Amino acid sequence: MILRLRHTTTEQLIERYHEPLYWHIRRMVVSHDDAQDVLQNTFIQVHLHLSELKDKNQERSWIYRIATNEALQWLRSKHEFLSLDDTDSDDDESNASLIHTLMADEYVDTGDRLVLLMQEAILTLPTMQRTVFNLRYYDELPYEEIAAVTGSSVGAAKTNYHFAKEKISNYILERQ
Amino acid sequence: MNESRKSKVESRKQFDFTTVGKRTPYRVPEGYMEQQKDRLKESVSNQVPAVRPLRRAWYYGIAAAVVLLLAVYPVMQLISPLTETPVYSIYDDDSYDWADFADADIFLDEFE
Repeated sequence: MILRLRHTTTEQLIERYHEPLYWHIRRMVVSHDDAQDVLQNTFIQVHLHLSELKDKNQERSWIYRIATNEALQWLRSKHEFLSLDDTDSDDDESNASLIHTLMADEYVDTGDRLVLLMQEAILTLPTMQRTVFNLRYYDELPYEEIAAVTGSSVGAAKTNYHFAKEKISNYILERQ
Repeated sequence: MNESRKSKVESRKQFDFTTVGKRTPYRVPEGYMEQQKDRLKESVSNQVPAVRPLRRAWYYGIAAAVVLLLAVYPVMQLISPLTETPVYSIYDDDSYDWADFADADIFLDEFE
């Protein structure tokens, strides 16, 4: 009975979050195939640890946190480094690889140059700034939730977003 | 406008994010989202949530206590009438023996 109830709840979470989470993960790992695998791992983790979700109000930040960690773990397994606290040089190597994936992936539309340039700019950001920017700009999460997802403070989330936007802007303006 | 001021203004120039909005170059195969939802549900249904060892120990402990209680209770019911002393079997004299000096007033009140 307990298992059945838990299963139903996981199904509800899949219904509610499978699409936004897919896009969140896709923006992080870039490749469609990788995003599929990471999304599946995310929901398995959600299912296995659902009993740890005590407060319904924290549902979204909890599930996004799992997805973000799974995506970072996936990237780490590919590049053998990378976390939200990694240095710029670690990020540089990983970012170059992600930009390469962006250009090579079967399910990337290279038709609109400006859209592609913006995504390229996002992929040059350090991991923390990229994560914060994506969560704020695309998913429109409030800073409080972003702080909960990234394990930082609200102030740090705001600062990261501000710097990310500035860098993206400069990157595009230099290449336009 | 002199040259340095011009470059300052240019450096402050911001990219207009509304020209791109939320558009991204990422695409998915047709009908992917619907299929993906079903695939996710299927993959999750094969996973059994892990019960933490400590919690499992609690469950075993509670189950053992319930079984023990069910086994012992009928025996206790049989034994209890022989071992318990019914209230009516206590003689008045015994009551006096149990009372200590401080309780004397109670008996005095009763005799009055």
